[in-house]
Amino acid sequence: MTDHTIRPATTADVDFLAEAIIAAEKSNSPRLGTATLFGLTEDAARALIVAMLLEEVDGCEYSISSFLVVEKEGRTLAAVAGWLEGAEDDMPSGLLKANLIGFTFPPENVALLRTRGAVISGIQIDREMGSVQIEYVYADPAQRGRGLAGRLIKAQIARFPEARKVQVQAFSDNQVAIGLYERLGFRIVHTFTSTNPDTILYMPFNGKVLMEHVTDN
Amino acid sequence: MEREELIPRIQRAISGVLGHTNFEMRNDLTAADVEGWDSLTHMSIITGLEKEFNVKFKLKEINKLKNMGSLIELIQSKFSVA
Repeated sequence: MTDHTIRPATTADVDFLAEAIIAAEKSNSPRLGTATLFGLTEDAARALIVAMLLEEVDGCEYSISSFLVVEKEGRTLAAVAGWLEGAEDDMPSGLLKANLIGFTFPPENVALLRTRGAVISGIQIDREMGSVQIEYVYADPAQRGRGLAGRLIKAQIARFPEARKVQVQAFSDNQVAIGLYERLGFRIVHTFTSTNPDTILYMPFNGKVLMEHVTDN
Repeated sequence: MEREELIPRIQRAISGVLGHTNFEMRNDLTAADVEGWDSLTHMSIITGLEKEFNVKFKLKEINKLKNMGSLIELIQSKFSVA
């Protein structure tokens, strides 16, 4: 492990971060919400995710500055996003993300999302101001089982010693992710299930869990 | 453009998206205070305001909008000469 370095992500990692975001959003399903909800191909969604990351807006899940990565011999192997909700001018990360999408995505695709909003409304989870938010937990498939994601989550929590609560969301059927978070001290505090039958056409699953970790800081 | 002139137009653009007027146009009003103002409707509200005032916001500008007061100031700045 000593030859693995944990460091903040930079713009040079942007392609790896886009892959991390896409893999985490798909959550082992073929459905990428950022593509399906906007009527985009996965390649087009990937290009827009890269464009959003390169705007370098801080304080949300599409912020390069939110990510820590594991590097070994110049190769990026794993990534996890984490930020303190509301730290950027008290702006909720959801609005920062909405601004990024509105600014980056073609208007016709944003208009399509407006017609499909009900599909995700049941599994949209508000993020608590002042809490640490963990998102997009990802390790290169060849590197899994080596504890890299767990190390990154712990490093993210350690970045925010002032925060008492850490939250992470997962799709309800993602037992691998939920098991990892439980081993790190997270517990499920809420379960959200969409009653919209179309949710499963666009999203990996129709349910999500909110998990919390109370820090000893 | 005077503040008194802007406020009803901003209110109209917001209520046009949200479908209600159950909010006061006070300076410290935030999205969290307004029913239905979430990340999905936020995009429509920003687009609606751009259309209403025929302006274009920069990403950096809208990322600094803490509350209604800062939104009013931003729109006013689009019409100031200085």
